[in-house]
Amino acid sequence: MPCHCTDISRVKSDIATLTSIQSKQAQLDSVDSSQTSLCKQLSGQLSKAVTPANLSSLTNHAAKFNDSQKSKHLFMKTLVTGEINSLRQTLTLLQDADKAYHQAQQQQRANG
Amino acid sequence: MDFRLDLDVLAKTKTALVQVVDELKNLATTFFNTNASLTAKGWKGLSARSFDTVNSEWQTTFLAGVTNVSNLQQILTSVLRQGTDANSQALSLARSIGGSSSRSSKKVLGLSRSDKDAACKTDVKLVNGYDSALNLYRSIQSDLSSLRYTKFSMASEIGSARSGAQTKQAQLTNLTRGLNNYGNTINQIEQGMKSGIANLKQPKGWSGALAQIGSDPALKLKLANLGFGAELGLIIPVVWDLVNFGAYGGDQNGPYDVYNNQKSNPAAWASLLAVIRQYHPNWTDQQIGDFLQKLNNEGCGYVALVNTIFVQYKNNPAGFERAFGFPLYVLDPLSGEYNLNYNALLLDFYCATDNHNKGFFGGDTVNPHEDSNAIKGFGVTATQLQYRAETYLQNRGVKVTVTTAVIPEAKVDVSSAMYHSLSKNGSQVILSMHPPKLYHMDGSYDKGNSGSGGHDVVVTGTTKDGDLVVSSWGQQYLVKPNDFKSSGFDYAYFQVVTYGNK
Repeated sequence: MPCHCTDISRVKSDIATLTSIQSKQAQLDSVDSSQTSLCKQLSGQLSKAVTPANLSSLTNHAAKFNDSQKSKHLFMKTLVTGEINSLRQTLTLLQDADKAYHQAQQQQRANG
Repeated sequence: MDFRLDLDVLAKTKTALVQVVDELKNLATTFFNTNASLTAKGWKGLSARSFDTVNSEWQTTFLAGVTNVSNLQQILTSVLRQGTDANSQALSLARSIGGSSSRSSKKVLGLSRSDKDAACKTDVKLVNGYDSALNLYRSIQSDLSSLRYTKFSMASEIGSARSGAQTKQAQLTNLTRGLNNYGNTINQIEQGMKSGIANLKQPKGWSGALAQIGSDPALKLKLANLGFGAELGLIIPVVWDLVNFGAYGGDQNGPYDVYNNQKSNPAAWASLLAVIRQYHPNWTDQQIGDFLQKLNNEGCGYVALVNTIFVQYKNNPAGFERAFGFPLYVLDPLSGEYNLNYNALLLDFYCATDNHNKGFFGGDTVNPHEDSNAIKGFGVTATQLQYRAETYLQNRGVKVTVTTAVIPEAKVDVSSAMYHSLSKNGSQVILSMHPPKLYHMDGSYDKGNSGSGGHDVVVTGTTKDGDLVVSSWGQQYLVKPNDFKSSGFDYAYFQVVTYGNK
């Protein structure tokens, strides 16, 4: 049964890194929100700015222009959250194993 | 929308105009040959010679009109070609951000410049927004590469998001470019229409005649019998719009034109008649017609002053209506568009001040012998224009001073530099030419509107070549100061109109 201190340190570091990524994803959410609002604004302006009528497809499209980016960001958020949860479970396991290892080591020294 | 053009109607109109030109030429040939053969064979004497003269004059005017329609047809052909290009451009625009490129059956070009500019600004913000997203992707990717325990990666997801953002940025950049190109194309179409119309040798009264054709059932029936039927409905509105397109200031013939076409545009005539009745409640129709014809003959100075009033009040419709008692804009029921109310103000000014002068001992006097006859006027001297303008405007609570910058007798050269100097404090400048020498905006000489007598026009700007841009007969013209060198016989001078307490 080995010592897990190094791994625990690495896992904690990774959780911190991923948490930092989550805050950047929150910034992406804010960008998405601003972009979506601008797209709606653009759509309204285009519908008044230009004809022919077939350009209405342009205005309809403009309103939803950022939707695909938004869904990509949402999916990435899910992945990061999942990975953090997974790392937290791993951390618990590693901490438990590490605790058992060090208790065993202490026991051995006491017995010796 | 600042601009709207239905390409399908335009195409049908163009085709119909080709037929109309041919028919009109045939009609003219038959008509004038018949008249000529009458005096050649069966009618002799003074009355026959007089008839011949009238026939010949009418033929010249009629053929000028036919040439006009032919020129219009050429303009429409050019506009249609550009319009078709613009339609394709619009389709590319839709494709440029991933919208549908399916062709619409209704090809209507339109542009609102302010909304287009607003859309371009929003577009730039969106492009910058994707820059922020791209920076965040880079930062997240860098964070992921520093993970120490997990093999977690989002390389493909970040790659896809980055590629998506870059594609959208490129599309939005194209959209701005496309919108500006589309705007430029529409500007070119509009400019082409304006300069084309400005260059038409339009016989006086032609636009009114067109309106009359459009609304006179008897005339319509006659034309239908001659072979023009359904296409008239297409032609009249488009030609009417084109003829009125690019009006640039008032036209001294405007009220007389409305009088002559009162059947086709009764609302326009009713509003002008109301103005006349305030001053001359008992005039007969004959007297009114003569008076308006006289305005057409001598009204250039009055129009020039009226144009300065419109510049002064262009952003103040309420103030205009308060001062003059009628609206700044008036709806033209034929075109459905609002136009500046030049005719009403011109007529009101003329009714109020025609032949009025400052009395020898002060006060206002009327000179009943100023004009040659009922339909031919004397015009206005610099002093008369000053007196009549100041009296008219001050009686309506408008503060104004009119001064003559250089007295005519001094024969000092007018120049664009002098114009800029006189107008620098917001004053407006009227140019008086003796005789008138007007050039179209493409530089060609307008022989028909130049020649003898005197003519007043309002100066609206200058060109880089030192020419003066002026408004005359409701259109934009050039005047070349070198045509009026003080060393020669022809002369010109400036009058300065200053509103308010300047």
